[in-house]
Amino acid sequence: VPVDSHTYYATYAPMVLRRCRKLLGDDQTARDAMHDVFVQVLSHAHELADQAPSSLLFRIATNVCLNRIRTRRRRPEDGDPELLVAIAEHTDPAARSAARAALDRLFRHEPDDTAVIAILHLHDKMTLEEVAAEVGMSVSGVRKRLQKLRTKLHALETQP
Amino acid sequence: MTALPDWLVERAALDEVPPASRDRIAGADPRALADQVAALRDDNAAELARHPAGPAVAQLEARIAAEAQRRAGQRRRRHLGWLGLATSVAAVLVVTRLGAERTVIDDPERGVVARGDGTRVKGAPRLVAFRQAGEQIEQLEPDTVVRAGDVIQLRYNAGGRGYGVIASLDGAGVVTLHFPLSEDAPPQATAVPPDTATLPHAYALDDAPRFERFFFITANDPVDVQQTLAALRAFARREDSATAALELPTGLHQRSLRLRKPDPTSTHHESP
Repeated sequence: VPVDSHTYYATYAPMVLRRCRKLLGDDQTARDAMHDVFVQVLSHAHELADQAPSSLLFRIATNVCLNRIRTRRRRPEDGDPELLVAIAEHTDPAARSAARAALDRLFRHEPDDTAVIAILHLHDKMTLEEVAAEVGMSVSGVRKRLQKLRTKLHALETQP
Repeated sequence: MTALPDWLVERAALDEVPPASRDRIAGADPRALADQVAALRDDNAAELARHPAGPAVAQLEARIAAEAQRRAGQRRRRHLGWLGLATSVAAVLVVTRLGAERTVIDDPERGVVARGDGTRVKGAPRLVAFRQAGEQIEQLEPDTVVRAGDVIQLRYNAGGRGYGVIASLDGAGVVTLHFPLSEDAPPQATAVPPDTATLPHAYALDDAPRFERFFFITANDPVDVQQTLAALRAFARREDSATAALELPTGLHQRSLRLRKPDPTSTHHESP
């Protein structure tokens, strides 16, 4: 059964807005990002019936915000700003937006984004098991992604 | 006991705690968690009161429709143009159906809204107009005299029906759509909130003569915005458009609220 847009929005929009506000800081920017999230999700409403809404929206919101941080170089309000900006700026430089890539992954069974895994674990303090459940990977897969990212970040930090 | 991260409290508030996190929830201080969940739910209610879902979803649907339309246009230009043909055929079918099922539903003059607006009432869609007069906000009764420049704000309640279109017709025969926001909006964009809501924008009346008449078309199913506007524009050409009932397809219901413009031959401005 396709989701009902009104109910879906009324149930989850405040949560998504808080997520965007936490990552982006500015209320209006967060509100714009929240709308972007729902446009992307509701564009695929007929495919969402079996998805876990809060997990999906949280992950797409994270991707949308990362994309905005990459684009605008905005600094997050709290959490670990340096880490967020570093992750945003040094991962997934592909031409397509990270948000669209997230949906592509969701619907076309592509691999998960290392940046989101990093945010979920390092910024949101999810355990490896929780990240794995969130992104649909094995714990060992998540661990490998994070180890690779840490190596990359370490290399960036040590660059002159 | 350790504090739970924000995202996990959000999941708890939504009753969507993933299995991998249930131990963390079980290990949390139940009173603190209950307080956090209550605070989130209060914040949810406040956010939705400030920014109701109905207009927001209408905007989202309009964006989605515009994007779909843009993509369809690209496909049409690239390929065979079959989509345009299908749309035309569908439009002809809808118009044919509209003509075949014309029925007069509600007496528009019964459709004027009562006072005490603000609570959910099933069964009786309501449309209320307010006018800003200096620092005061005045609720407008039917046939109140309004003037060019008056700022009007509409509130509405679909009375338990899930969908609606709000548009106005003035004495110059001009039809203006107020909800949803775009004339290109798809039927799903006509979803209305279950409770009384305020349109996101007030607007100033122009100098159109005789009257300004607001229609609130409601239905249990999504409403075709374009067909509704077409019916209103046809209706606007009638001599009795200030008083007659709008003819609508079966399943659509109407409420109307008429405000009067001053008689240009009159020297005073009292309400009739």
